[in-house]
Amino acid sequence: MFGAFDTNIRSRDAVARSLSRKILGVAMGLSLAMGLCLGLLAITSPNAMKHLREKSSLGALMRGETAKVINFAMAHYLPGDQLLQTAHALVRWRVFGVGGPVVWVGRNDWLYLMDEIRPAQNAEANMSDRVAIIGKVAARLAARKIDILMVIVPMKSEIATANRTIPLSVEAEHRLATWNRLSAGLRLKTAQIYDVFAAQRDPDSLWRRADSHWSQTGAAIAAKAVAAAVTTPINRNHHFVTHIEAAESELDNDLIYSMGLAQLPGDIFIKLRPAGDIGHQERTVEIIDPTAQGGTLGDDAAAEVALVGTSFSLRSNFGGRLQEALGAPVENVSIAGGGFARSAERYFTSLQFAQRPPRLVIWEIAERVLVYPLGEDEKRLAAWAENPSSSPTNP
Amino acid sequence: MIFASFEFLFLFLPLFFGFYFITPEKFRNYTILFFSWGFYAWWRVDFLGLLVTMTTFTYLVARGMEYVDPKTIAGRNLMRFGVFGNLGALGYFKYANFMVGNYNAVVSTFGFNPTPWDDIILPIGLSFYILQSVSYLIDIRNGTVPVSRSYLNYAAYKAIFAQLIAGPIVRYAEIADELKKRHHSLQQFGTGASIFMVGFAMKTALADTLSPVVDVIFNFTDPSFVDAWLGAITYTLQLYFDFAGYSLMAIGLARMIGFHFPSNFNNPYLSGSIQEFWQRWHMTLSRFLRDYLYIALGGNRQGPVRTYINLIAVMAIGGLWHGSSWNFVIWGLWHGGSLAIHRYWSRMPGQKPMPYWLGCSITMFVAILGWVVFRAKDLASAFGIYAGMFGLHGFGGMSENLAWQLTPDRLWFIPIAILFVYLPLIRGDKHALLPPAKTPFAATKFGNFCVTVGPLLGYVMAMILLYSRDAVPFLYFQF
Repeated sequence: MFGAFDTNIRSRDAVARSLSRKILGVAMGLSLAMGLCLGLLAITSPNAMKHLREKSSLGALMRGETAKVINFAMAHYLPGDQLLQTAHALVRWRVFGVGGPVVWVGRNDWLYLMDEIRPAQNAEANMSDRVAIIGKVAARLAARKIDILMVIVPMKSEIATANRTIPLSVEAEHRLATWNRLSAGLRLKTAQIYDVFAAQRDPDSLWRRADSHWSQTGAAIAAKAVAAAVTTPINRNHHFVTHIEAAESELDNDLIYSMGLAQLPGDIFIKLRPAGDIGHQERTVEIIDPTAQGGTLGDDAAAEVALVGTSFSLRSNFGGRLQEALGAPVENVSIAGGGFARSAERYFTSLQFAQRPPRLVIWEIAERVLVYPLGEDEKRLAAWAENPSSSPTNP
Repeated sequence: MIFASFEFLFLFLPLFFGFYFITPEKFRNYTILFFSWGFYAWWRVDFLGLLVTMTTFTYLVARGMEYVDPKTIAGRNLMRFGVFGNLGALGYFKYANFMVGNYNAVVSTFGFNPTPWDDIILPIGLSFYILQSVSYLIDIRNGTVPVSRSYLNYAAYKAIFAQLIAGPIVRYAEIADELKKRHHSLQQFGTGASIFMVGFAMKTALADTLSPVVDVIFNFTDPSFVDAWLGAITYTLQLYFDFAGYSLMAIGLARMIGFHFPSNFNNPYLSGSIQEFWQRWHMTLSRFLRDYLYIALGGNRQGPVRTYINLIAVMAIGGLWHGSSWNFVIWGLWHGGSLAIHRYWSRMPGQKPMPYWLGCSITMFVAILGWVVFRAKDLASAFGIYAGMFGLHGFGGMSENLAWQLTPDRLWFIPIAILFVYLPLIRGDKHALLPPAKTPFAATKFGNFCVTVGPLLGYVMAMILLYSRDAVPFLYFQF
C-alpha cells in the first residue's frame, strides 16, 4: 500500500493532488523550522552548554565526544519534552487502557505497580543478600542492647485483589513466603502485617486506588499490629489523639504520576486520567499533660523507639498511628523512596544514633523492594554492620 | 546519526535544507557533500577518511578506465583492480573477524594456539557504498554508464546522506543526470515529505513498538510454541516496517532535493512465490545480485544444474553480505535452496500454477523460518526458536516472562502491522481481490484527503512516540 506514495500517482484531479503535496511541503517546512528552534534551545540550554564547553576541543570533536553531548542534549533538554511525554501517556491510557512500563491498570481505575506483579530477576539471590545484611545489622544492634522489630509491608497486588485483572507471576506470588523461609534462620521478631491484612473483611479498603501505598485505614491497622508485636520494655504512658480533617482533599496518587499523567493541565484534562483518591487527611498529636515535668533545659528524653522505613512510614499517618497504638513517641527517620536500606544506613551512621540510641528499632521494609539488586546504600549499610569501629558520618 | 532521532530531525535536517535552498543551484552539490560527510562523521570522524579514500580511489580508477578506454584489456584490468580494491576493503573490515575467528576455532580444535586478534570495527554503511562502487565500475566497463569527470558529482553521489548508510543501493546511472541538473518545487518537496513521513511512521510507530517483544523472545533459551511463533512473526513484521520505513525515508529525503531513487520494497509479504518475494524485497540488492553476480556466474544459460548451483551460491553470498556469521550464510542457503526448489517445481512438465493463497502461505512460511536464523544472535539461539516453533519444547502457551511485555499498546500494533501488510490485497496489488478502480483511490476527494492527512497524522504520532522512548537504531545499520 505504501507504494502509492512511492510512485507517481496518476490522478485525474491533478490540481487537488498538487495542492495536497504543497500542503504537506509547507507542513514539513514548518515542522523543520519549529524543530530547529527546539533543537537550538536544547543545545543552548545551560546544562548542554556546560557539557559542550567541556567537549569543544578538536580532539573531542574527532573522538565523537562533541556529537555525543549534542545527542544527549537533544534527547534530554528539548523544550516541550514533558508535554509530549504526557501526550503519549494520555494516548496510551485513553486508547489502549495501558499504564506504561511501571503501572498495571486494573478494573475501576485501580492501579498496581508492575514490580509487584511481574517476576523479578535473581529474586531469591537478592533476598538472600538482604537477609545477610539484616543479620549483621541485628547482631550489631544486639551488641548495643537495642532490639529490632521487622515489619514487612505486603504488596498491594496481593492484598487489594478485587480489581486486579492479571494474575501474579509465580515469583511474585511466592515472594513473601520465600523471604520468610530465607529469614527464618535469623529468628528476628517480625510483625506479620500480611496475616493481619489478609484477615480483613474488605482488603481493598486497606490500599488506595491510585497510589502504591496503604490507605489511612490500612496504616492504622498495620500500626496496631506492629504495636502489638512490640515486647521491648519502653515507657508506653504517653497519650496521642488522631484528628481527622472535616473537608475532603486530594490524596497522594503516585501511580498516576508513574503513568506520566501527573502533569495534565486543567480540569478537563484531569478528567481524562484515572480517578485519583480523595479523602479526609488525618494527623496524630500527643496530648501533653501540663503537670508533667519536662527536662530542665527543654531536653526531653529521647524517643525510645526509632522507626526506620520507607514512604509507607511517612504516608497515611502510619507514624502517628504507631505512636498512638504504642502509647510512646517514635523517632520517625524514614525516607521516601529509600528502598530497603537508605533510611537505615543514614540513621545508623548518624551522630543522633551514636549519641542517643533508641531501645527499639522498628525496621519497615516494603516487600516489593526485597527482590531488587543491591544498591549502594545497602552495601554501605553492610559495611557499617561489619565494622563495629566505624564512626558516624551523617551528623 | 539515525533518521529517527532528534539530532537529525531538529538540527541536521533543517540546517541542511536551509543551506541547500539558499545555495545557488550550481553549488548545491557542495552543500550535499559537506552535510553528507558531516552526517557520516557524526558517528566516527576517522571512518570518514575511509569513505573519502574509497570514493577517491574509485573515482580515479574510473577516470583511468576512461583514459585507456573501458572496452580494452587495460580497461578491464583497471576495472578488476578497482573492484578488488573495493571488495578488499569490505573483506578486511567486514570479514576479517569472521575468518580469524573460524581459523582460530579450527586450530584450537587441533591443539594449536589461536592467533591473537583485536576485533575490527565495521564502518557503518560500508557494505552499501562498496556495492555502489562495484556497480559503477562494472557499468563503465559494460558501457551502460558514462564516467563522472566531476569529482564533486561523484563524491556527492556516493555520499548523499539519504542513502549512504543503508541504501537503497542507487546506481550512478540512475541519478547521473540529476546530479547535474534537477528540478525543485514545493510540490516535489511535499511529495518527498509525504514519503518521508510515512516511512518515519512505519519505522517509529510500528517497527520500534514491536522491537521489545522481539528482543525478549529471541533471548529465551527454550521458548514455548506460542512464544517462538509470536517472536518469529513479530520479527517478520518488525524487519519489514523497519527497513521498508527506512527506505521510504531515504527515498522521500532524496525527492525533497530533486532526486528520484528507485523503490526498495513492493509489498513483499504478498508474494505468491519465493521467486516473487525476491522481486519485491530489498529490490535494489536483488537486482545487484542478479546483474553483477548471478549473470556473471552464467545465470541460467549453462544448463539446469549449474542454474541451481548459481542460485544457491548467489543467495549464500547475499546472505554473507548481510553479516559475517554462519547465521547469514545459512539464511542465504535457505533462500537459495528455496529458489532452486521453486524453479525445479515450476518447470516440471504439466505443472499447474499453485493457487495464490497456497503459494503466498508457503512463501510466508519460508520467509518466517528464514528470518529466525537471520535475527538470532547465534545458531544455538536460532535452533532454540526453531525447536519451540516445531513443538520440541511442548505446545504450551505464552511464557510468563513474555506476558509482561505484551501490554495492549504493544499487542495492538501486531494486528495493525498485519493489517497494513495485507490491506493492498483488497485493491492495489497485482494479487488484489478487486480489480483496479476506474478512479484510483488517491484521485478521489476522500483519497486525496487521506494521502494528505494520513502522513501528517502518522508523523505527529511517531514524533510523540519518539519523545517518549529511546531511539532504536535501524536494523540494517548493522549490515
